[in-house]
Amino acid sequence: MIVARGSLYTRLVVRIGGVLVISAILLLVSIWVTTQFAANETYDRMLVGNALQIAENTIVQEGSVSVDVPLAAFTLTPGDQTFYAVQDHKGRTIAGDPNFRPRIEWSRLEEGPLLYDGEYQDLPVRIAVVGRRMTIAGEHPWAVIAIAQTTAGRRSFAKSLDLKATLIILVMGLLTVAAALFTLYQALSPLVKIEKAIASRDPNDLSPFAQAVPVEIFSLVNAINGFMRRLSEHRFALEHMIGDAAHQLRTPIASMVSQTEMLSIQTDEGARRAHVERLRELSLNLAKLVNQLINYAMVQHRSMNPEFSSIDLSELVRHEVAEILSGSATRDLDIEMRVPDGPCKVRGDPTTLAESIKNVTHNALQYGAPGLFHVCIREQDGDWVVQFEDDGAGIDSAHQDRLRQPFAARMGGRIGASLGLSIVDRVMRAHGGHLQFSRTADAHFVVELVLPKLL
Amino acid sequence: MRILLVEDTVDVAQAVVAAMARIGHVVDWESNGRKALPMVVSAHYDLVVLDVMLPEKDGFELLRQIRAKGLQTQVLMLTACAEIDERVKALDMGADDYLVKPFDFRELEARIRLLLRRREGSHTNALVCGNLTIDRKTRGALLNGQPLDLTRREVSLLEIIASRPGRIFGKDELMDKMFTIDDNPNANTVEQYIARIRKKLTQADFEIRTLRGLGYQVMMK
Repeated sequence: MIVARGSLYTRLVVRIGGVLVISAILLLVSIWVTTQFAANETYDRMLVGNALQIAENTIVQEGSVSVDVPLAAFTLTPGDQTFYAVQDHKGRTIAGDPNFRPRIEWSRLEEGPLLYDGEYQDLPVRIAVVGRRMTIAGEHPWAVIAIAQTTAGRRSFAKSLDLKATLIILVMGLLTVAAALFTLYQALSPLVKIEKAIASRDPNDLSPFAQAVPVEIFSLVNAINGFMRRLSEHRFALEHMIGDAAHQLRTPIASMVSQTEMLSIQTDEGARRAHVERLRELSLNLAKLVNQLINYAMVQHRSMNPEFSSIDLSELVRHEVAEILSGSATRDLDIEMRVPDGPCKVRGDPTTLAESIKNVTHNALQYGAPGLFHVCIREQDGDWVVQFEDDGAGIDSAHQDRLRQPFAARMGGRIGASLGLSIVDRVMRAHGGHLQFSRTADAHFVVELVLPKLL
Repeated sequence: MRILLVEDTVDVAQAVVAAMARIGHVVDWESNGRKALPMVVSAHYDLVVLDVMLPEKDGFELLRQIRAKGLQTQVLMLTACAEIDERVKALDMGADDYLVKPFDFRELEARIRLLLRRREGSHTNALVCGNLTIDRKTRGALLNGQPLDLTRREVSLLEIIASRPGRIFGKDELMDKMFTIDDNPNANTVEQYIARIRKKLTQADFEIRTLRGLGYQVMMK
């Protein structure tokens, strides 16, 4: 019984979902990094701007540095604390918080505003340091303006940007997933169509599916069509066979009934004896035919449900041939069997193979072999070939193919039709081998059973 | 020789009785399995011709009972079922022979003759094959009434193959029956024994044929 395990739909959804989730994560991470950067940039610029504004208002007056701090410099950052200090060329704080004495890289003041992170009053701050060269005498004619700002503002700015971005991505993602679920479901709909087409088929309708199918399931549908074709051929053969069998059985029975009829009205002793003899012949033939039919049906059945196992051909052939020869009068025959030394292994069904060997042997003894019956097994191209040779007339090549069919009329005007060879043919094909005929140099007839070796 | 036929198909039964009468035997006929049971185990009959499909007790059950009692009655089974398994089963259970219906009556006759001869032999411990007689008890062999000089093994071998003329015995089978593991026979041993026996049986009215690749067969000349 077939079991539904896994689901194409689930596979697709999981994979696409995975890809979406990973891209979403990557996107979010990069957005967080970028907003952080952007927030810092913005706030730093403002900080530097403030410092520069103060720097502009730093002047030399009566030989000392003084500054007029514009109030506008500190209004832009609600929620943050701002500290500042202005130092003159002598390092004295001339404005702002005298405790605020940040580190100053004197050598770099020339480059422009300096920005770095620091700590003041146990708070993390961002510090901007701007130097202004003053026209004043001294070793370091620099006024230094330092502004420190807590980072809460910039952080919350970044955070709000992140939140908005994340929200947008999440919503987009969910929409994409929903769209994907729907689209994938749609994409698999041809499978549903085929499923419905098969389910609604009448069991007697074995015509191939003709509808257009997507490339991916083309070979699947093709295989189904091929299977149905074989099934319908098989069914046709079976029906045909039943018809044939019925005909083959009715004919001899009709003959027997006729003979009995004639016997009952016949008074002449000689004629009566003739009818009785004929009746006897007919009934024996009918018995043989029925046996053959049963064997044929058995072989048919077993080739549909083969029970293959490992078999030693050499032993099987020897056993079957010996048994048949033991039971029949073979006084004057030259009988011989030649096999290779080791076992001749094949994969097969012992019952039907035995039946085939019996049929070929019976045929040889009955219709051939006035003087000689030889069996040999040899190797050829990865196959085992079992050869049955007799010095009878054999089967003309003209008749050989015909006799592979069931109920082929027997040759030489013999009564009844034969199933024997068609059974052998069928069994050979079911085993992946074949039945063939040949002649030896001295015109002996050979029946060959070719079977693939079991390695 | 007393023969019992247990068969429920009237036409077949009548024909068998008639065929046996023609060769001089009187046959008792019972068509019901249950009624036949006390008859088959009574040791009164030399040969029982037993159909498999019988009303109330089938042929296999009757066969089992016969052998369970240790009777040496010869049993020939008849059946319409051609299954190979059934044939093997019958022989394994102790039937002496097996015929599938519809059978040739000449075939039936021949087999019954053979079984009766065996029965005769087992009564008197003598195995007769043409002009050869083997005494199973004393292991002596007589050809045309004259004693033959045969070794113990040669007698065994002859006994096996002469008990069933026409049957082909394979080398492996003969080795199995003649030797034990300790004897260490090789492939040529049987051949040598056959050759020796042949030399001593030039006066016999049968011959031992060698069928290359198949085995050995006793055939009347």
